[in-house]
This record gives sequence, structure tokens and C-alpha cells, in this order.
Amino acid sequence: MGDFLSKIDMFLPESNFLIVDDSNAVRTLVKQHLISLGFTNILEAENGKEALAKLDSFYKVGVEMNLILADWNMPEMNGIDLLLSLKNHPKYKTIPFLMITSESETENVIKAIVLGVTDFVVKPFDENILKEKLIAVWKRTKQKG
Amino acid sequence: MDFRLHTAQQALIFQVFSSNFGLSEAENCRIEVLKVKEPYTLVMFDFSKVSSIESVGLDVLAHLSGSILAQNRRVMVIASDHLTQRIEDCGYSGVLPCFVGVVPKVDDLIVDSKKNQEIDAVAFMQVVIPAVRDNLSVYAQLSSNFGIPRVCTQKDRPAVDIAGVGGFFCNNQKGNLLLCFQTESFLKVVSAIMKRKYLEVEPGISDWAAELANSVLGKVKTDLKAEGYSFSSGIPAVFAGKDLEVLYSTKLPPRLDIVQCSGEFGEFYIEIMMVPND
Repeated sequence: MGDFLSKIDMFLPESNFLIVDDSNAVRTLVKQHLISLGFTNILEAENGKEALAKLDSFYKVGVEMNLILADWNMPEMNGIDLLLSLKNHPKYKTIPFLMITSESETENVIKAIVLGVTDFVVKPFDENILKEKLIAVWKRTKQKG
Repeated sequence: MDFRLHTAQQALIFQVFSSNFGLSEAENCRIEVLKVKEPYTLVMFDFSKVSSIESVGLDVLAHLSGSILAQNRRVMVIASDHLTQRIEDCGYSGVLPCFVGVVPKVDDLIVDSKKNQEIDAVAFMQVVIPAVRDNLSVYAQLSSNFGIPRVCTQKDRPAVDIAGVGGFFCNNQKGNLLLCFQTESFLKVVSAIMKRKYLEVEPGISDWAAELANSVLGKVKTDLKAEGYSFSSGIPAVFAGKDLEVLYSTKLPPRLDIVQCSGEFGEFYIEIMMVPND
């Protein structure tokens, strides 16, 4: 666990993660994986709208989000609309965004990449896959400077 | 199953490259599907006449290549020295094997749409079963065995305690996919996923029935679309109770195809119901 965190210096144990998924099951699983990787500050939202509201309220008190992990298909506001809103927002556009999706169709993937998604986790996934994706997020964020 | 790169996808990739990623000579980029020794299909991206590509363009290319490789297809990139170096620098040499030079043009770009064909339940099940197996293996580290699919009526199938239900449209048909569990087997599957022992269906864990159906439908969608079918699905729901009987309100009695799945968790079954889309 410590070894993993030392590899990716952009994430610290106290980094803030926001999991956005309408499925309580998936939120709980992702949270469990993140805790097992050594992270402690993990927040949850059920859809894109709730995520934006939480980001706003945290921003007001000076708390920055270090990574958003969002599902693609959600009621109210889906993952792609959330991504679009964030990329158009001056304060949130640089937050790394990991899309969790059950669909890996080329058209959808390209659409999300065009909008600036950092990487994808395709369902089903386990802790190792999530760990690899966090490393990929770290590499890409570093590349983009 | 061959990987088919449709002209619409090619057009999209060209458009994305040319308008977003600073690929100054998009018209010089060639994507071709080459038939090589069976069962492989080789997808060639010819960038030999392209002078520059930004990193996000490479992200697109690498992701596309990753999904091609996942289908046991081969990918080849014909690139200039400069681009080859760039792919290496970005850490993509594993998914984008580069060859410096030009490969002769092959004219047989394939467009093979199955959008007007009916898909039968057996062919559908052949895509569903590997998706269920994959989900159990990755999420729960559980191995599973599948029986032979059989046709049944609404009255002669096993009772259900928890079912994940997802509706879908496939070409000119519509239907439902159900993952149907007894409480005991469901608890064992969820316990394996969450790595803690559940003795009863606590609030929230029944969501796993819908989530498994969702993840299975996502894989089915990807696989069927790669074969040329049209496919869309909704957000799955959960039915939970005791000895439930799921009934469909269709005009004609629906055909139901079910297949039993067994493993160390016990048993559950997959049900496919399809009717013409009117």
C-alpha cells in the first residue's frame, strides 16, 4: 500500500476523491478499493448534479478535489454531462476525471476523450485494475503538466 | 468474429484527429483492415505521411488499439521515425507497435452491418454467457459453469428471490435480460465481491443484482455492436422478495430462454426474453 502511494506522488493518503455513481453497490466497492490502497478522504454523490453541488460546497470552504471517479450512465445528470460541466468550469476543469463505464464502444470513448476525460475503468473491475488506472491518471496528468 | 472497422468509425476518427488534435494532414492518415492468417485481422493505421500528432490524439489511438487488441486482433502502425519516437515517449509502444515505412494499399475495407438481421436468443445467449462469466470472475473471483440453454414458459421456471433486470433493444427486437438468484446464492456472490460475509440481504446490497445486469449488458452491447448489430439498453432495476414469479405483459406468450449458472456460490439462472419491437 505504502509502496503504491510512493509511486504516484500526485495522490497522498489525505487526497480527496469523489465517487459519483447511482449504484450504492459500486460506490461502496470503489470506496473499499480506495481505502485498501491507502486513501482516507472519500466522498460520494449519486449523480452528476449532486457531484457539482458537493464540489461547490467544498470549494467554498477551500477544499480541493484531487480525483473524480464517475459512472457513465446515471439518472439526473450522466457522467459525460458532468465531465462537460467540469471542463467548462474555470475552477474544476483541471481535476483529473476517471470515467467508470460498462461500455467500451469506440464512439463513446472518443467522445469522452475529446471532452478531456483522463482515463476509463471498464466494468467489471477489481482493485488491481483500479490501481493501474490511478497510475495511468498520474502519468497523464504529469504529461499534461 | 472479425473486428470490423466501419466507415462511420473511420470518419469519426478522421474528424477527431483533424479538428481537435492538431493533426495537420488528416487526409494523409489511412486506416485499413487487413485480412491476415485466420483467425486474426490486422488493423493498420498508416501515419507515414503525417508530420505531427498531439498527445491526446495518441490517447484516442491507444484506446482504440487497446479495444482491438482485447478482441485478439492485431494492430500495426505505419509511422515516420518522428512519430514512432513520439509513441514510444508517450509510453504507448506496447499497444501501438510501430513500423517505419509504407505498406501497400489494400482495397477491401469492410462494412458489414447486421442492423437489419434478427438476432435469435441462442446467438444472444452466446454473448451473454461469457459476459456473466467475466463479471463473476473479475468482481467476485468466482469461477462458474453454465448449463445448456433451454426454452421455457412463464409457468415452468424456478422461483426467484432477487433479480437484476435490464431492458434492451436489439435491431428490430426488444427484450429483457434477467439474472435470477435465490437469496443464499446471491449472498454468496455479493460476499465474494465485497470480501465480507453477508448473512442477510442488508440495505444496499440488492443493488448488486442490477449492477451485475448493467455490467453484463454493457459488455453485450460492445460485443454485438462490434458484430454490426444495433443495441441499446436502459438502466437496470432490482426485483426483490420471496419466491417471486416474474410475468411479462406481452400480447403473445413470450419465448423465454434460460441457462443455469453454477459454481461454489450455488446456482442462479440467466433469462432472456425477446419479442418483436412493434
